[in-house]
Amino acid sequence: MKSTKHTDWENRWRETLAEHQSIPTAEDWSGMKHLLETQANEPVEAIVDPNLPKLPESSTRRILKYWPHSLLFLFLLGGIGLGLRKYEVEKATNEVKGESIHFSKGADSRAENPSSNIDTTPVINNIKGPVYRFDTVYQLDAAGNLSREIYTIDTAILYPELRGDH
Amino acid sequence: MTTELLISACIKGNHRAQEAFYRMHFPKLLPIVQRHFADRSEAVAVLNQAMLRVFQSLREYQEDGKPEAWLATVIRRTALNVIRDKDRANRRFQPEGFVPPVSVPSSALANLNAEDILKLLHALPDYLRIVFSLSVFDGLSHAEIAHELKITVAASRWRLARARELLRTHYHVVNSINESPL
Repeated sequence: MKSTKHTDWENRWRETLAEHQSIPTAEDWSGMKHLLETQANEPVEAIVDPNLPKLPESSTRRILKYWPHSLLFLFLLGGIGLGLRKYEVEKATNEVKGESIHFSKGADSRAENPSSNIDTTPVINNIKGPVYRFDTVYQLDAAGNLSREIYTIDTAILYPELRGDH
Repeated sequence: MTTELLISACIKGNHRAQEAFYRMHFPKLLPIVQRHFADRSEAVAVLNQAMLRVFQSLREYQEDGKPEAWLATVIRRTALNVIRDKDRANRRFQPEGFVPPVSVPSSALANLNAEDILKLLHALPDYLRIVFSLSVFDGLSHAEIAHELKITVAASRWRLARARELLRTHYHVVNSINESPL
């Protein structure tokens, strides 16, 4: 590349300054020593150019970055599930609250044994809890008479709090 | 201790070796920075930044055991980076009034010692001194200066010419004061 032509005095200045020396002071070295102690082991800083587009985040990095949010979301989902389940149980409990319920295999058994609260036949034995097969669930009024039909279903696990056999 | 041994000890992080290396090269390296930065403490800070890079990358230096040229290049690059980062090459701190050109014999300028040269250089505004130093002392062409400082080639030429004018004027003023009768 074509170099700039310099005057004689500029060339002389270059030579003079090339010979010029400056002695370091104790402060100069202490500044350097401080730099070495604080930054020598740190990685060289990457060039940060605000005009450069950002690199996409890796999925692992994203997971690590947002794991508290994910955990919170899972807890929230679990909480909603538990709440819904509790609501359903409470709803079912409230419907029979203060009344007894009567399980019947049909019109015949209901007529033959109206005072029996539960008329059931266990059909599944390999799971925990009482499992009953029945045709219809009735409510009993205070006098012990059948009042109205609640459910018509086939098989159910009967929880003690729903049995109402008191 | 030979330079190779010194470099080897520096790579191992020996502080005494690093100090010896620093003190050995400082006298030649500081003037390179001082051409651009008038304030000595600022020049030393820039030099120390450059030396930190040197110590961090000494492991990669595999030359003939004469690192002076390599050191000078690192120092020059660091100084240029600082100039660019601070946009000092384009900042005009004070407006310049019209200064009539004066005639100063080249021999008078040529016989100045280093301290006087630095004093005259430091009288220049940054944007002129940096172009003058890059051109005269570092031997960069106008195209290279324009590229480094992100200015046009014409601007580089103009700044060099303007720096020459002002240096002559400052020399004339200083010597007029010194020679004036009491």
